[in-house]
Amino acid sequence: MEYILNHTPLKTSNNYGINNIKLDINIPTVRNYDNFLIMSTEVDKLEIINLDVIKENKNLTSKIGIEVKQNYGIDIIVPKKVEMKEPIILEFNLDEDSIALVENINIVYEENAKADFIIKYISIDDDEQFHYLKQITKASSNSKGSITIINMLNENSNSFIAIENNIEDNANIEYNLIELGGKNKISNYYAKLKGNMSKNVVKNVYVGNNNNIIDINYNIEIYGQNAKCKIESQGAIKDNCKKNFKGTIDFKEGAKKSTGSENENCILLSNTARAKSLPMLLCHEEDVEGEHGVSSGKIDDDKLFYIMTRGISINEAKRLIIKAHFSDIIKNIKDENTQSEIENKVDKLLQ
Amino acid sequence: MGKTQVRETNRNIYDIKNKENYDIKISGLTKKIVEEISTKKNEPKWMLELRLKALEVYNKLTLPDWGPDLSELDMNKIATYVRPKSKINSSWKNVPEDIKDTFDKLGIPEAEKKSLAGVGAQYDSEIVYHSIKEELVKQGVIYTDFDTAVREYPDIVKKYFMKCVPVSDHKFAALHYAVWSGGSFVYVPKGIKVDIPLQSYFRLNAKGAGQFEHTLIIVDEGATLQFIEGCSAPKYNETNLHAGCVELFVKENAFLRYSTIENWSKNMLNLNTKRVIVEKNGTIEWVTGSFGSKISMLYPMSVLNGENAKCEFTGISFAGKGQNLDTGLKVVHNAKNTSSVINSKSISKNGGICTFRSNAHVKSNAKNSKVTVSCESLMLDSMSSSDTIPVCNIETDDTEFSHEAKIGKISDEAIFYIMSRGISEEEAKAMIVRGFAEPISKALPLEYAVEMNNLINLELEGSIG
Repeated sequence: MEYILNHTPLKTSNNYGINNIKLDINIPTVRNYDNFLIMSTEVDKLEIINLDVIKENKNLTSKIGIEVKQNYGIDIIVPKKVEMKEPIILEFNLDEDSIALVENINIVYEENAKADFIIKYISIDDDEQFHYLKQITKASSNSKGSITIINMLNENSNSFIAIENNIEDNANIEYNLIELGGKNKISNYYAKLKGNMSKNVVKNVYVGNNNNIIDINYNIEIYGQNAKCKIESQGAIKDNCKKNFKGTIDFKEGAKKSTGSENENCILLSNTARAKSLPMLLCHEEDVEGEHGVSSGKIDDDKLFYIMTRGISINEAKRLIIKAHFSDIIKNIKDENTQSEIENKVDKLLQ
Repeated sequence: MGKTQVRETNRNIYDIKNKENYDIKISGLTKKIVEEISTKKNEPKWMLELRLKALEVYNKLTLPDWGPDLSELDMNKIATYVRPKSKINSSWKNVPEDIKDTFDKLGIPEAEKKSLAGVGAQYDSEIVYHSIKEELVKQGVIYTDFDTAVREYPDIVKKYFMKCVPVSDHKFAALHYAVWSGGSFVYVPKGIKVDIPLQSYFRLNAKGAGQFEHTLIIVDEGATLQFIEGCSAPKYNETNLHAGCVELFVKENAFLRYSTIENWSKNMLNLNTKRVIVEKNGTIEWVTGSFGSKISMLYPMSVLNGENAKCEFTGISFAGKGQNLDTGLKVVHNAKNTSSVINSKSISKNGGICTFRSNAHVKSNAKNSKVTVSCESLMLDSMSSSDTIPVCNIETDDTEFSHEAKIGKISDEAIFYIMSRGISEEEAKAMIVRGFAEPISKALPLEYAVEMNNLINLELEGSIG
């Protein structure tokens, strides 16, 4: 069935083909799902509620624009003043017994709470799988944390990731979104910086190959004063991959002294890959600073030449440069094992 | 820091309204009306056929579902053809007094004497004055109004008309082709360098009217040309519409600089279409200043079709109270080693809305091409808004593409620095705004740079803080 999904917050000419994404996909029958693990050394500090979504017969909807029957849901609350020393790792596996996962994960940081989350999606086999996540975060005042979401599904799968969050006074939430799996990778990120001095950074790494479709749609709205936000996206695409990056920073009236910046870099490794970008800055407040930069295309010749003079082949040199672009983001992730899993997967994809 | 009061802009010279003194005024848009316009213009049959085809396309297309709201536009109320009581004159003396007076006040004959190689002046739907320096005529340069070109140079017109902007491009391009009238035609033969600019000035006087002039410029191999267009109209309460069309052809090794100072009145919907096709080693330079109109949707497009073709775009728009200026550009890289450098600036104040909208498309055959886009927006208060909506579409692994945008207010440090030199706060801010616009004024001939600076001063008077 054909779906028109992931609409930008503001339209531009339809001829440019970036206002939304048309996808022809099959959504499999959604059955019960229980193939997951929560790993934390301090799990008893958290309040975890499993939601009985099956019994309630709930459907999942999000800003991506598809509605699918839900088969998993969880609320995780980091109580007031609780500081988690180690990251909380949630690992979801998909295999022939559980080919579809449609879930919501709600994370609440209560006041002054601190915690880092790593959420992974892994295909155990090569069957076509379907994953649709809606992750909502509420960051109460003075809370701090990072949330890393890693898509490592197989080549044949569809991945939909929708994130919504609400950031209050002086709260600071950082997102790392690592998109390495799935033939179609559709993501939507929406953040509302309501609080004064609130801070939100979203960083994204992706690799696309074969006939992959990657559609990234991020939108940060700033309402609070002295708020700060940043969007950074680093990617590489090859073969016939088509990538759309749509990043919006929206300064609402009253967002005085707030700043926002956006930076996107996409490297094309084939002449048949297609990269579209739409970095929007919307501004209804005078006293702000906003900026964005996009660079797309080939790897800088000087950098390549420099590395090749060290006796390294051109393809290896390209891989090294791309990995260097990614490494600043990957190093941010608060778990070394996860970092090396991602690096290995990137290596494989860039072969 | 305190804010000074905003005063309505003084547009004095642009707001002169003449008594409507016309032969013919046709309103609405039907097949009969299109036929009537064609008959009145005594056109060849092939042109009427194109007009009727365009009308069909117009009726099929819908209004854009993006950008500013155009629902106030009622084509039944727009005068599609207004012929002033004047024939084309090549002597300024013969232009009717009221029309002459307007253009005198706008400084057109003065500019012609000082700095132009030729002038065309359009009043409502028809050209009322046209002149070109004798030596250019001897070199084979053709500069005439477009109606005359259709009659006298049908072969060239047929070869190029509608070839750059297709009729189905968008609804207002189709509208234009159905009811076009007036405009300019320029042909610069191979190797001829026209050093002094040509200028066409478009004045819309009639209330509730539309202006649909067609500009067709061909700069043949190795030739160069600078062309300036100016536009203005007095303010009425009814909606006026400008849906002109500019088709430019820059041949191998040719150069064209196309400059526009647009100061339509603030009841005007400016839905203009401009496009150029640039061949091998050719260069197009766009210089545009958008100050007027209620709503503008204007995105000049450059198609770089030949190797080493270049495009430079330098534009500024300034939106004040009640204005929604949605401007930008499109560029298509369609050959090896093509390059484009885009610089866009916008200033919004007093509730004005500025939107920069663009599409830079690098096709897979555009190896070793370069695109540099830079846009800066200045907000002078929080009632205003400023949006940047740039699309980049890359289809090759062998291109260098960079895009940068900045948005914000005048920096306090800069104001403080200038004030520490004994300059008042208001003047310091005005200096910074003029400095912001400098890259555009530098690209214009002196007289027009002065006009643009005056426009900025008019717009800024007492308004910044």
